[in-house]
Amino acid sequence: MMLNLSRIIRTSYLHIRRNAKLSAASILIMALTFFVSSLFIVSLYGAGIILNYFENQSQIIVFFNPDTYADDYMNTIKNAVLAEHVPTQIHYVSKHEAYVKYLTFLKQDSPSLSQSVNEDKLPPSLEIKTTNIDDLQKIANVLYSYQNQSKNIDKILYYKNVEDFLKEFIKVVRISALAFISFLAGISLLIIWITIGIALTSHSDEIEIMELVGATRSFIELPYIVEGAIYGIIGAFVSILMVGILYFVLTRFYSSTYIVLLSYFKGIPVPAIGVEQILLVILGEMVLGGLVGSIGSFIAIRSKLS
Amino acid sequence: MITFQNVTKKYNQNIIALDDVSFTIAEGEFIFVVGPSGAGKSTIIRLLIREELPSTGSIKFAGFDVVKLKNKGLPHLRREIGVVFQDYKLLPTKTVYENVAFAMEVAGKPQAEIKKSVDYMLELVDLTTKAKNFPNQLSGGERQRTAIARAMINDPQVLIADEPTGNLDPSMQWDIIQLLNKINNWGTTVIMATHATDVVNSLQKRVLAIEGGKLVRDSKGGYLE
Repeated sequence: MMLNLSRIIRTSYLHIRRNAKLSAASILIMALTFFVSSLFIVSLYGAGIILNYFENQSQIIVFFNPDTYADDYMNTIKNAVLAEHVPTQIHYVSKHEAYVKYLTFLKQDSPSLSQSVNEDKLPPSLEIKTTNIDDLQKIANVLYSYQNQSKNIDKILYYKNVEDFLKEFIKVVRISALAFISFLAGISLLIIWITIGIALTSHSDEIEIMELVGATRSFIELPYIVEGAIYGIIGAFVSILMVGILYFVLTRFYSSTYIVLLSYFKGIPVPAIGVEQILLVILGEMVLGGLVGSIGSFIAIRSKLS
Repeated sequence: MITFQNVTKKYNQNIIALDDVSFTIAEGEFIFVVGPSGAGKSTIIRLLIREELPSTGSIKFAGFDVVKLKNKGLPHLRREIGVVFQDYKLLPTKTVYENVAFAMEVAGKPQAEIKKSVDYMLELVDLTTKAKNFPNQLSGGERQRTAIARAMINDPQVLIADEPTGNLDPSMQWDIIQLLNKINNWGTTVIMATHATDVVNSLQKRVLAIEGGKLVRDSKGGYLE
């Protein structure tokens, strides 16, 4: 068994060495496929986190006029929202609570400004969340009608547009990722197919002799399948290196741009990614690369040795 | 041991390579298959090693139904048949030793056994000193002896030689014929397709003469009876 494995790997290595340029092309195409896939996956992951953040924030905030505010009016609004019979969470933020929040915010960014703020000047508010984003418009309409009738409502903040944009963005990224990755995966398969096909053609005499002396199909085919898998595995590994280099360049040489870029997402909690998870992703990509490479080889073998 | 029963091989329905050929070969025989070029000699060999299938008829060999044999069983059939070709079919990138050992590797034999058998076989064909040479460093006779060593290394029941002396000068031809005769004396059935009239005449073995795809003679004697 070990002997067979060592023969297969040795033979595959010899094939790769003899077809060095074509092998390099196959590996680089695979690397490009995985690199682009990685970028799309990271974008989707990031967009998912941002969307999740917005979905977990209050989607509508009703600010009451601090001068004319009365608990009765707040309860009327609350009941009007509940009367719509859609699953909602309503949280009342009093003047004091708003003041505490505000102070916390100011202390982080402009500590000097915190002295000038007065609790009475801050509006109490209702923070409303729905479990289904499509119900938001219904609730917003009710609130707008109350705002039109009375000056007790100072302002309504409605984040539907942001969420709609994010949802649309994720959808577009997902579709284009699928299309682009499929296209590149197709090219990778084709390149591996051609590479292995050329290897099979150049070894046709050897294969004929193998068949004549009683070699089994697996004895002949396995080194070629392993050769394809090696292209995929190395390609995936190179793509990981490319992502690593990109990250290094971005953080090392363009650190100011990188920090500005990150500041747009300040406040959005990004789940910590551990070494284990990174290793898992690397392993996953390499396994996938091996699989794509093997499939490419398998197709070439079936079409050439049938 | 080998039975061809009413075997016909047609290409494209019009070209008849073999026409209703029947014969039997017993274990340990030495048989010459003779006939002009295109008579059907090589077709018999290709059918026996299942490189091709007959259009009609049955072929049996040592318990194998060659025609009905599934692809999975093909390697087992071919390990029982050693084949030697006119153009040697040696791997140019492998040494003499590696070319012979290759047939055993294919059969999944362990390295220790391969080494022992290959050394012994190279001694038998008198190629021990050439073990590390590549095919392009050998004479025609040495290449053919390498091919015979490779064909014999798995101890097949039958050795088929398709025009083995076709590319050799007369002195080397006799070396090869003597080697094949020696192999036959050890008990291996030998089938040799040839044009070499003098070889057939001198050995006086059984001759199957093929002409236009038909078996026109099956008897002991010289090339022309």
